Formats: sequence, C-alpha cells, structure tokens
Amino acid sequence: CAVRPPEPVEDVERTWQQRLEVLSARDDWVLAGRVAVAVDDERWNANLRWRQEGETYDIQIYGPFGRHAARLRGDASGVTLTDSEGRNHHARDADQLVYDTLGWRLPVNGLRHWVLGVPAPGGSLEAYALDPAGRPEQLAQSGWTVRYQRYSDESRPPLPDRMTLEFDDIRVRVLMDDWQMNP
Amino acid sequence: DNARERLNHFFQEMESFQADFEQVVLTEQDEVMQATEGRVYLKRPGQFRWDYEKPYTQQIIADGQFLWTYDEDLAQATVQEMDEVLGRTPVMLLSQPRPLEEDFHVEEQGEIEGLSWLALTPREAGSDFEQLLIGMDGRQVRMMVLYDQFGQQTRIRFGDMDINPDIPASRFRFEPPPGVDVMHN
Repeated sequence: CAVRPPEPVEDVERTWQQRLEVLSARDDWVLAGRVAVAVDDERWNANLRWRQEGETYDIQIYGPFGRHAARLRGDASGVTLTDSEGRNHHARDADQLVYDTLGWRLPVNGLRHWVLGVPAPGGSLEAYALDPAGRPEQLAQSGWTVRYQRYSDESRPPLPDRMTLEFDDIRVRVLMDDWQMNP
Repeated sequence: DNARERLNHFFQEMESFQADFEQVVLTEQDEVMQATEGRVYLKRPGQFRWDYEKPYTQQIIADGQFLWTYDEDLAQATVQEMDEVLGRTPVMLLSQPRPLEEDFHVEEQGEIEGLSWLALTPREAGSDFEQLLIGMDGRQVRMMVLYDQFGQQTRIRFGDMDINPDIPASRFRFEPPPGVDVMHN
C-alpha cells in the first residue's frame, strides 16, 4: 500500500468531523491482518481476520498453516468464543469473555471502531489528537490508549495501516494487511 | 503406481528439498482469509524453513530442536521447543516421516485435477488438522490441503521443487536482526 506523510488540510476539524460521519456509518467490511499481544514478558502474534456485518462480527485468530487459535462470533445480544481446543464459551460481553477465557484483553467493542480510525460511539472518548491531515494520531477511550503509526492512502477517507492499543500492562499491535470495505 | 507408492518413492529419495510455495487459507464458506507466497526449505530429519515473502515478510525456522518465528513488520521473534508444537504440523510430516500408517489412517483418493491424492486422517484426536490431503505429481509432492475441525482449509501448492539440492546449514539457523529480542514462549 502506498504510504506518504499526511498532506495537511486547511480545516483539520472539518475533515475530522467528515471522517467521523463517513466511517462511523461503515459496518460492512472485512479486515485481514496480524495481531501481536504483549503482556508482562509474554509475547505472541497471530493472523487476524475480522468480518463485520452490521452488529454481527466474526473474528478469527489463527497461526501459520491456518492453525486455529481462537474465534469470536457475536452480535449485540451475545458472543461465542471458540478456543484452540474447539470448546465454545458464551457470554453477553466479548471483552469480558476474552479476558475470562484467554487471560488477556482484546477490547472487541471498541476495536471495531478504532480499527477504522474513529472512536467508538457512546461518549466515553476521553481525549484525541489529530494529525495535520485531520486523522487521529491518538485516542483515549474506555481506559485504552490507541495510537495510529501509519495510514494507507489507498482508501478515502484513509484507513489505518499500523496501530497499537495499551491498557495497564497490556500492549496490542494490529497490522492491517488488507481492507475490504463493502458500501 | 498409486499415490501411496509415489509418496514412498518421494520419502525414499528425498533427503532435502526446496521449492516455491503458494498458500491460501479459506473459511468454511471458501472465502479467502489469507493468500501468501514464499520459499520453503526442508532437510531430514526435523529441519525446515518457511519464508513468507508476500504480502509480508515472516519466517518460520525449525532447526531440529527449536521452532523460531520472526515477523519483520512486528520486529518480533519467538522461540519454542519443537516437539511441543511441531509434532502435529503437516510440514513436519515431510521432514521426518515415521511410517504414515503409525499416525494416520491413509486412503487413496485417486486422480483429481491431474494429481493423485492421498487422504490422511490422524488416528489420535487433538491434532491441528482433521484431515490432510497430499497431491502427488509423479513422484513429487505438489499440494497439501489441511482441513481443521472448523472446516477452515489451508491449501499449499509447491512449485519449482528441487530434490536433494545442497542447502547450507545456515539456512536453518535463525539470527535475530539487530534490535529484535527473542521471546521464549
């Protein structure tokens, strides 16, 4: 993906508002990428495929040779996590289910919006910093610090290409290899 | 001769090989989750190297004792004991094959798309894959197709395979690039 430093826009705030309007409405997409989690001195990384369709999501985390690690399928009413042994775990809230089952945190509810480079709706946005092109450099929301290191300019508005999330001693990196946005 | 005999010839003759590979991971609805390409090197017993080159750079190196992984974009390397992870990985199958029938129920599948196929079903539960298909092209392994318990499918196609080339030992040694620390998992 072609990547250039952000081209400054005259009205950063207006570009940001437009971005919010366009991307917050986007709920039919597929993201293929990689995720790396660091908790204390433990590190691991895996492939990620996230299919979002309205309120329904299907998040697959898998290793080399398609080796299944975890799968999260859910919607507004609840979520099922299938672990690497194939056991199913159910709950209402995905974030809590990931923590209870896998022992680390993946803020699924927030990440669904953060991967697009916009905050989650619902007002818990504590702070944000924009770059000269009106794209977020950093968001602070529901206790997480979200940072965007790089955007791909193959899409309008530009979508993140490299991001990190931090919460206490957990650091999650997400690399976006391929975006498929359905209108 | 049938696929089983061809695979036997392959194992008898092959001490090492190198090849290009194309790998596609498909969901249970046959949607492409990931398509990658690169080079694979293998040396019996127990050494192999899987260099992903497209769409990103990643290495998986089994040196006979440890399995190393390295992702360039993440600048992160991991190492773990080989036997823990690798016993069930399909590529290991090609590098130190005990007689297949010890670990798998083996069944001829006949000719499909110009290859003659074998179906391997692990005898023990808990393996990474539910079924592994091997497609033989003459006396060379051309394709491996893995099905996991969720219906997810990984298709690997080898191309331009050299049998018994001389592969430098350094190929199976992982040197972490400067500034990259190796995590013991």
